[in-house]
Amino acid sequence: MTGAMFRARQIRTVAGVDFRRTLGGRRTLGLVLFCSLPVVIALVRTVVFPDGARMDVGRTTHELAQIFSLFHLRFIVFFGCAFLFVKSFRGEVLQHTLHLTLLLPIRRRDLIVGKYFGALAVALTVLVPSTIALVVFYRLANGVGSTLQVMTTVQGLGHLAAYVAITGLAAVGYGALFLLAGMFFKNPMVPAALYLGFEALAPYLPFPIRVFSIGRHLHALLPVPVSLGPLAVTGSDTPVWLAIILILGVTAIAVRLAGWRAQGFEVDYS
Amino acid sequence: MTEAERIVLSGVSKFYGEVLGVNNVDLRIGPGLTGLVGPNGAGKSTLMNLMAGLIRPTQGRVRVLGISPGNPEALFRKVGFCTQWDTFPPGATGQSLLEDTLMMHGLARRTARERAMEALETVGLTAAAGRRIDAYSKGMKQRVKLANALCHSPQVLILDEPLNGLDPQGRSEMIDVLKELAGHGHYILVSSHILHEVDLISDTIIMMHGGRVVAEGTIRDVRQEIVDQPVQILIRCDRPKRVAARAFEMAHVVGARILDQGGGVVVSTRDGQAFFAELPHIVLEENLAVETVVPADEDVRAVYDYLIGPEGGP
Repeated sequence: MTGAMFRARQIRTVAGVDFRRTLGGRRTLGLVLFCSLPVVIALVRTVVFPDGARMDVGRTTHELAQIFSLFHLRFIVFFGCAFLFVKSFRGEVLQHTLHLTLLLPIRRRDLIVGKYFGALAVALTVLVPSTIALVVFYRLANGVGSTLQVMTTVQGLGHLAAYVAITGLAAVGYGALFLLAGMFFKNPMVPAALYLGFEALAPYLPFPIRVFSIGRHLHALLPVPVSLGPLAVTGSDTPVWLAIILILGVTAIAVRLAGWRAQGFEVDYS
Repeated sequence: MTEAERIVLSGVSKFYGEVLGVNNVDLRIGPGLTGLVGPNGAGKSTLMNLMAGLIRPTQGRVRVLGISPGNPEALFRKVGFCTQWDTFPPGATGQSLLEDTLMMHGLARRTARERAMEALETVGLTAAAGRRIDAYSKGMKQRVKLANALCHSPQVLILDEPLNGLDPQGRSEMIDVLKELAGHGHYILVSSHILHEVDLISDTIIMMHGGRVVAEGTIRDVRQEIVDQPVQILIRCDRPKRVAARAFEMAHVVGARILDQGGGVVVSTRDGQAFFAELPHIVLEENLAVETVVPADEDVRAVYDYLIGPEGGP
């Protein structure tokens, strides 16, 4: 086995171990419940909305885009990623188990890559079903027949695929940034709040800084244009291909920086 | 011996802010069992953590068989470290912990499972292999830590208080395992505050106090370096009072203490070699029946008391 293959296998092993330990952990149950919130909201809408509105499929499509963009993406996915990825490395410091990981024969930057993929796998396992459930249950307000009709069209399936892809890319991008934040912060809420503030200011910042706004790039990928008023990430006219490249680029930079930070990390549980 | 055949620390210091961890430590550690002793806060764990790269020196250089601790990929193929911490990943069982470790060493899952069970058998944990470590007793946690350090057959074993929490039988079994490994040319560094255990297991000792190495070498060599303390020699014989009387005729003898049950005498002398030269004459002239003649303070406890003090400080 070549060195590169062996390293790839080690990264896969770290990711697998992290995935298994995180998914089997008690804290993940809280995350699953948190990520079920959109489904609850969708179901409540189905139950309480007036009949007239239930019949308006176009309005549902538009509302769904708003709920997805403003609530699911910016709240559920964002804070879900903050919780998962900040804890990925920092959680081991808090549990006093980091030494066991650092005593393994693996380069620390590879270890970070492995932990990133492990947390990403957990994020996708939890968030993708949450997204699918949101889209499906939100449409149920229009009735089962209407939902089936919409969901079996190219447009309906295309929207669903787009929302799933955006969720995945959000986990990729936010995950990398929160993994890096976990090298510096104990509490995921601190970097999450700081980053939310940055995203709100991003439209007014120069381009080289603005590219680090994952939310701005995700907005460019939405299948249905939404206007979110004062909370909007406005002025995003980035082409889809460029938005994806920018998200992946920011991800690569953040994971690399986290790897550098890990190189000099010392075990100190005091 | 070259640097690639030793654990080498050159001018190593570690400060935590203004707090001293270790100060200007120079060490060359060869194969065999080396005991690291010293009171709490002496810097033993800091020294071990430096060797494993869990912390980095403020000054100086560390090499383990020529490998920098900053290169974990190479280092932990040769090094196993049983740390002071008793914490484990939530939900992990003894078997899963070791399997994960071994898979990180490149073993396939099946081989990793077999090797994990072998290591658990070595430390007597076969029956508890599938149980969650959270539910283990202190002694069992100690054993699983040892198994985790041993499972990939490292050449160097760094063990921070490995016998803590083990019952007497467990200690005895573990000492046998360590002695066997040392006999096969492994490098084993063991810290302990239980001095008689260090005596039992160590070929050489490193004694630390206040972040500094105060003595290093075989226990005999270290004892002989302590020239301000008289050598104590135990003679078990049929007429200890006669031996004491004859001993006091020698100028270098400074004391003699008859043992409580009268079966022997401990002679204190400033010149051990001269006393040993004279002793056969005394035995012949007095027609003594001598059972044993052994140094009474060539052990870690005595050396520790002389250098550090019985309360952990001079």
